[in-house]
Formats: sequence, structure tokens, C-alpha cells
Amino acid sequence: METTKNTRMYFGRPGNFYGFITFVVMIALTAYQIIMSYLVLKQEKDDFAKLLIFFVSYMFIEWIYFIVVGVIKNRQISLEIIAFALSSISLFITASINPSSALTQFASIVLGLFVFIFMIEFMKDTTRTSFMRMPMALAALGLLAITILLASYKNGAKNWIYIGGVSIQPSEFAKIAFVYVGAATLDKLQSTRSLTMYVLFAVACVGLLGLMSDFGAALIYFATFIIMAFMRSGDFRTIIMVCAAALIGGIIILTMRPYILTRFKTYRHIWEYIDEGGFQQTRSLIYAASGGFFGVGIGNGYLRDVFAASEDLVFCLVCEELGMLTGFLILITIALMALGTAYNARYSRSSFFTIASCAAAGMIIVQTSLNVFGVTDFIPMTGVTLPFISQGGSSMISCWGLLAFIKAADARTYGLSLSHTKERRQLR
Amino acid sequence: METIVYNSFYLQAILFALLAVVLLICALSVFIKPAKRIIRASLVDAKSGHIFDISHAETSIGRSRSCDIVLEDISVSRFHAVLSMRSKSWMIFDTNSTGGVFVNGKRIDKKQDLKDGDRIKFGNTLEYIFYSTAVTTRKKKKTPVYNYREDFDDSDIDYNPRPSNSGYNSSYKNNINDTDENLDFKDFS
Amino acid sequence: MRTVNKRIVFLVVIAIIFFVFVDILMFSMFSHSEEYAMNSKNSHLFSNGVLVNAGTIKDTNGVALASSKNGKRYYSSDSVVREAMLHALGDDKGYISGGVENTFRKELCGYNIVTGVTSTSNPTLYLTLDSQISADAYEKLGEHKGCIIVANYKTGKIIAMATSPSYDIYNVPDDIEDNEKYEGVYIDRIFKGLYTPGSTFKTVTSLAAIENISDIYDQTFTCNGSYKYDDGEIICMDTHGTLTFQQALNRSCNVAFAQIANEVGASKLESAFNESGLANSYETPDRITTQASSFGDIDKSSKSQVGWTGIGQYKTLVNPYAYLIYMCAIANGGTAYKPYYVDYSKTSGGRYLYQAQGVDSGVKINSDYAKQLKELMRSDVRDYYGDYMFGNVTMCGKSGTAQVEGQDNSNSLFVGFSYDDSFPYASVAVVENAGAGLKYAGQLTADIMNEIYNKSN
Repeated sequence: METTKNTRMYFGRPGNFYGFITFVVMIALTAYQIIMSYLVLKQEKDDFAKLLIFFVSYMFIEWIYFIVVGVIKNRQISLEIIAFALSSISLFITASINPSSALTQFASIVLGLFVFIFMIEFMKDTTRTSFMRMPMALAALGLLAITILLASYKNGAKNWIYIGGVSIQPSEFAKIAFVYVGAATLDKLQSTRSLTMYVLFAVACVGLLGLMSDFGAALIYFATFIIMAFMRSGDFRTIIMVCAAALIGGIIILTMRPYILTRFKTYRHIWEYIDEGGFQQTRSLIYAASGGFFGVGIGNGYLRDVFAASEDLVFCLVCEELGMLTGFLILITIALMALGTAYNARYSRSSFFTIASCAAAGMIIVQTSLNVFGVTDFIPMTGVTLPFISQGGSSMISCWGLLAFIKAADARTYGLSLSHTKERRQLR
Repeated sequence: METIVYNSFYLQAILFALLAVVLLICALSVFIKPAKRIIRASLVDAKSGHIFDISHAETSIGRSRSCDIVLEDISVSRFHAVLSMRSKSWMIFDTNSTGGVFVNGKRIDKKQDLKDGDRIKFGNTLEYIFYSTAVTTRKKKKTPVYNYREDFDDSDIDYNPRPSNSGYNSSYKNNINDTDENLDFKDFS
Repeated sequence: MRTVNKRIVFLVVIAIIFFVFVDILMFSMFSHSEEYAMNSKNSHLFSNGVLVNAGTIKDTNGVALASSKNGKRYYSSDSVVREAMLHALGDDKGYISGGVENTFRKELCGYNIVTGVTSTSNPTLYLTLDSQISADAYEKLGEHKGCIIVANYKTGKIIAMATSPSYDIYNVPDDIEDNEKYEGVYIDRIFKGLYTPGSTFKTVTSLAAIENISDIYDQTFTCNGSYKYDDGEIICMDTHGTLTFQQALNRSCNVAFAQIANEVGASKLESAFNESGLANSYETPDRITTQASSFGDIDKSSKSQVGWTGIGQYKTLVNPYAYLIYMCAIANGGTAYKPYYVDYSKTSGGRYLYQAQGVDSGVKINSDYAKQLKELMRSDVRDYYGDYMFGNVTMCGKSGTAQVEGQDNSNSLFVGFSYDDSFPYASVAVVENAGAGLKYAGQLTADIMNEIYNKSN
């Protein structure tokens, strides 16, 4: 009886404007995905059935989530819908380019969703959340250390390990732990006002990443650390000192490992090295421009034949096949998502969520920037993935994990999910 | 190079439009109204009756001007304590203060659960009474305790007069504040 | 919480900075989109550097010269046309830089930022050239290297052009790199060539004379076959005896013109050279940069050097395209458009992607002097070469035979134009290593002019 009352409550009232809008959005998203599925499948012969199952299951999962969380639990799910939309793009791209990896991609989106749900549930209890910070710190360091011990070289960086035929990138998962550690409830913030321990932790993480030669990730971690250090202390002097130290450290590393500078040789000279070092970026720009505003259509592009197209170059791949407007739409969405995070974080239930959500949003922005501006030769390429859109299981899961922090800061997430009957019961 | 038949321009434009609708509406809907929870608790100066309105889930207390509640007593450290709304109940944290935090006369260790009516002392200050509700002086405010969904439409709520044996009369709205004590804190998670 | 909340602005700043840079990126990508998409590495449009996914190129009569089908590029079925049109169209390796398939990629592909490379309306590019006449001209050049270009001096449209050597794009010769026969094969001699002008330069010397010697028509010159200066001797082809200015031009007397050159003076001669526009490098409307001619660094005090320069047998080098502009200017009352051969590009939907417009070459010759030159050059044909040579065309012109070191035979040159406004064509022809100017370049010009005449009547 409770449920029917709630359902009636949701659909029955003409005044429930926001619910209606969400429903319209879900319809639009499904229409989009149906058309995309058709376009991908019609070019597919071998894996048709398999991909069809993935696409249908994916849409099914979206609707289940909408009904359970959006309708029945009456929560706002606009953030998840954005993530569903972007993740589906990665699924379509992967299915179109590497059908054999479609299963991994699909599974990682689902896994990511579970991680998201689990984290939201877990962080409900602020005390429990706060308690887990130390274990998380150990987990982060542990993950990074294991990577160094077990990892094999892959494309110049030693940050992948293989488990049971699947390659995972522990530094992606460590991102979640890293944000977790940096955030703190207000009592913790006030009790331990010194940043020293945290700085040491961050230095250790960045150092380990440097040892792995994953400099893109090191940059991302460092930027996130700066954000969290600032959110925690508001102390400009320490931040600047740390940045200066980082700069010095960076210079030392460059003198020790000068090969890194070769990567800078082609920077701003990609057209002179059009078939050598500038190959990826020049092709990215050429094919992105070929797409025009709306794209040549999924499957009809040529950038997909270039190495790392669905990972590092995916922004330009989207521009080519789905249109430059789509590519920039995605970037604008990410910017809006960050602004929305800032907007909501004011009312979060604890400074832990305020800090964590700002750090997570900042991390996503920094990673997006490194990817997009790198592939277009605005900055040197650093080989990081584009959140949600790039093919890559570990990256996808970690993005959903970061999303959980953003969602947790939204007061509505932990809003009173009292139903009417409960409320009435209480108030007699 | 095999000939590629490109997708119809209009089809691609429709795809973009659909995606734009989805992403932009979702991204912008966040800004429609902030998720603002109105949290109500109070610290009342036992002697002067001054009411500190607690409207955040975490409130910092201390002598520093950057604290949410500024106490100017010399025995109060710059960052003395934090009053926090947790899943189980409200809690008070002693954040490395010199003078200590006393709840009902006893100095707390690091943290302490609070219940309605507890008396709190910071260092050598006077006592403050903690109320886990909003305390108003004369007028009964019609503010609901929680307001997590701005689109919350209360048209389904039964506003019929209560049975007289409950002690309440007239409309439900006026009696909200009086019934706050009966709210179970489990529901605040 | 207040303090932490205040620090949220940091994220806002980051988001705004990100947003600003995204906009900068978007602007940059949009404004360079055409440049990027037209890169020859773009497999949507090119295959091995060849433009394969592009529209059709047609000549002025609608004859298809190049088209795409199923990702391959096809050219005229007539091999002579293919060879003649090669430099105008371009090759598949990008060696011929002035080819339309390179310079007008954009207008052949119909790329625009909205539709990207998918535009189904493959545009057609029309040239002003008559491919058949050009092919005939190419064929008539035969074994000789050289070039010929004929343009409408009122509009600037080039009706026929050919440069030799060339090759068949369907059958690239194996020895194209080694064989002397193909030396300079990738160069379009019309736009990039430089030639010693020989007697054709007397048209420039004449301009100088008309400008600076008020009584030039009253003067007489005596030619005994040669003329000695202190530091050199001018040799004439013949012993002409006593000549007027006009006769001296008709019979191309070196002795007379050496004297005229010295009477005018080196600096005034050079001024006339500059005025004729020969010294300029031109950016043609077809997006080709021509080679600038040069007067030559001569000792202006040496009479023999000035003399030799005056008859076009010293250091002066002339570019055929620039020469054509000079001819057009003379014919057209002192000014001329830059000649061009790309007419317009239109999508199948009727939208114009490119439309040529007459662009002023900047050459300005006093209209009275131009008229005088026109009459003088008319008298060359009427009174000396013979109108019968040019058939139905009332021709004005000047032949030139330029001796070139290392060549067995001289280069044969002919510059001229039609006297009659209703058939307004000007031409420049160079036949290398051939012999007398009139016999080779002049005959070639006559044949082509008549072919054009017959076709237009």
C-alpha cells in the first residue's frame, strides 16, 4: 500500500514537474541509445547477437535504476543519467571498434554502478566514513606499491597488471582512495590542523606514480592534492611552498630521465613530424575536423584505425564520428557538472563530502583537460583517459567511484527518504 | 579505400539534439534549486537566554573569527569544539582544546553523543543548553523540520483535525515544533 | 563549515578556467577545421596523397577532365588531353604544386564545417580552358619544350595553355627522373619559367622610346649589320640600311634598337621594364605565385650592355605569364586583369563555392602609349610577317629568337594579340631549342589563334 501511494504520488500529480522532466530525459536517452545501437549493429556481422544483448541490457539497467531510485525512492538522478549517457557512448565506441572488448566495457560500467551505489550507502554514516580513512590510505599506497611490484610495461608506462586475462590499472582505483584520504569531517579538520601527514601521504603517492612513469596520473594526483590541501587548510603559503617543491622535484626528474623531454619535441610542431611523433595528434585534428558539426556517423571514421584511438584520442574520435558539437557538448557538461558540485557542496552533510566532492570534480576536470588539450596539441600529450568516454575498465569504475563523492555532497542524497506514512506516523 | 556511405546529416543532427537534451537538462537541473536542508538545533545560553541557531550539519565553535559560533571567553581555544549531526545523534567533538568540553558537568574525552537538554560548557564559559530542535521564543514558526525536496507537494497529507485525546487541536502545521522530540533520529540518515 | 564552504570557490575557479580554455580550443579547432580536413593525410578525401573523393573538373565546354568514382580518380580518356591538362589539374604526388586538385581542394570537396566531409553535393569545378585547343597546342609543341598561353585580354580568362614537357598520368614514364627529355617536367613553364626574351623585348624598349623620346617616329637609324661600342659590338641579323622606328621594330633591327636603348638610357629602360609589369611576381587568382622576371644586373654605364639589354639578349629574363599581362595591357588600352583559368565551382545543389572575378594586375600604361604600341605591333604583322600567316585573325605581334648558351638552336618566342576587339585574345608562346621566332613560336601562335577563331565562329 505504501508503494502504490508513492507511485501515485509520483505520476499522479500534475505538479510534479521535475519528475516529469526526468522521465522525458529518460525517453530521450533511450531514443538516443536505440538509434546508436542500430547504427553500430548494422555494421556488425559477427558479434551482432552479443552486442545486441549488451545494448538492451544496458538500457534495461538504466530503466531499473530510474524506477527504483528515481521513482520509488524519489531521488534526483540527473547526475547518474549524465554518467549513463556518457558511459553508453564509451560502450558504443568500444563495441564498434573492438567488439571483443565490449564485454569488459559493459561489465565495468555495471561494476562501476555497483561501486557507486555501494559507496553512497557506505558513506551514509559519517562516523563510519571518517573511520575508514586510515584503511583507505593504506589501500591507496598498497595498490600503488603492488603495481610497481607486479606490473608489466605497457606503452611506456609500468602501471598495468594482468589478472586472469584482464588488464587493470590499480592507479585508477587508488584515485578513489586518494580522495577519500584527503577529505575529512570538520572535527578531524579542526583537531589535526597540520597538513604534514597528508602532504607526506600525497608525496608518497605521487612518487610511486613517478616511479611507474605514469606522469599523467602523477599530475592528476598532484592537482587533486592541491585542491584538497587548500580545501582543508585555506593556507596559501603551504600550497605555494608545496608547488615550488614539486616544480623543483619535477626539474630534478627531468634531468635524471631526459627521455621524457623527447615527448616535448613534437609539442607545437606536430605538423612537421606528421608521420612520426606527431602522428596521433595530427590525425586527431584532421579527422575531428572531418566530422563537421554532427559527425560522419559511428563506424565511418578513420581515426579509429590509429593507435589508442578509443583511449587517448577518443575526444577527437567522438568529434569525427559523432560531431564536433557533440565533443564540445561533453566538455561543457563536465564543466557544468563541476559547477553543480560546487553549488551543492555548500549544503553537504559534512565537510568530508564538501572536500571529497570538490576534489573528485576537480580531478575529473584536470583529467579531462590533460586528455583533450593534449590530443589537440594545446599541451603535450600525457596519455590519460577521458572520464566515462574512454575505453578502459579501471578508468570507468574509478569515474563512477568519484561520482559517488559528488553525489554524496548533494544533501538530497541523504535526504529524509521518509514516506508519507512514516512521517504521519511520527507526527501522529 | 572503399567508398563510405556517410550517415544522413539529419540523423546525425537528431542524435546530437537528443544527447544535448539529455546532458544539458540534467546538468542544469542541479541549479534549479539547491538541495538545502534546513537543519534545526539550538544552543541556548543558560544565563542570558541568547539562542545560537544551528543550521549546518557541522558547526565549529571557538574563539577564532572564522568559526561558525564565536565565543569570546579567554578560556575558549581558537578552535575549541565541533558540533556535528551524525547518523545516530548529534555529537560534540573536543578538537584539541586547552580548556576542555564539559557535558552535564563531566569533561568529555574526544567526543560525546548529545541528547536534547544536555548542558555544555566550553572551558570556563557558562553553560549552554543544547536543544535538538529549533527553539523559538514566542511565535510558533511554521517551518517544517526537513525540506529535502523543494518539489515536495503536500497535497496528499491529511490535514484532518487530530483526535482530541492527543492534546492537539486545529491544523497539523501549527503543531510541528511541539512534536519534534518524537522524531526518531534513524530517519535522519 | 563556513570556512570550508568559502573554499569551494576554488573549484568554481577551476571550472571557469576549464570552460574558458575549452572555448579557446573550440574556436581554434573551428577556425582551422578546413585546413585540417584538407590535409592530404585525410583518408576521407585522399588516397596516397591523391584527391579521390572530390568533385568533377570540367573545361569551359563541359568536357570532363577529372572525376571520382568509387574512391578512385579518373581523367580524360584522350592521352593528349591528359598530358596537356596535367599541370592545370595536378598530379597524384603533389610534385605539381599549381594543380587545381591541390590549390582548389576546398572547392572540389565541398567541405564545410557543418557537414564535414560528408557533403553529398560533390561540386563541379569549371575551368576557362578549352581542353581540345590546349591539347592541340601541346601536340604542336611536339618534341620541343616550351609553353603557350592564350587569354582573353578583356576578361582575363585563359582559353588555352600548354607546357611541355609533360607526361601521361596514367602511364608515368620509368625514366622520368633521369631522362633529359623530362627535365623540368613538374614545372609549369608558364607560371614559373624564365626566358631570355630576345627580340620580343623590343616591345619594352619601344615603350621606353615612346615615353622618353618625343621625336622617335621622326628619327632614322642606319644598320650596317653591326655596331661597335667602346666595350662591345652589337650584331644584327641582317643589314637593314636606313630604317624608321617602326620599320626597325618590324624588321627587328638590333643595331637600331641598341641605339634606341642607349638613347633612352639604362635607368629609363628599366623603368619601362617595371612599368610593363614584367618585374613583378604575381599571385594569380588561381593561387599560383609566378616567378618574377628580372631586368638583370648590368653595368648601366656600358653602352654595349645597355644595347644588348635593349634587344633582349643580355641578362634580362622574362616570365611568360607576366609577359602575357603586358600584351593584354597593350591590347586593352593600358590596363589588364590577371589571367586565370579556374572559372567557378558549383555544388549539385546550385550553390557557388567559388566564382572567379577579374583581378586587376596593377599594370598601368598610358593609354596613348598603349595605343601606339598596338599600332606598332600591328604593323609588324601587316607590313612584315604578313597577314596571310595568321589567317582570319588580324594579328599584332613581335617575334623573338633568343640564343641560349648550351643549346644547339635558339629559343623561338612570339608575343602578340588580336587587333580586333571582337576577338580579344592575347598570347605568349615559347618554343625551346627550335630556331627562328616566327617559324616556330609564331606559327604555333597562328595555328592556335585560328583554331580559337574557328571554334568561336
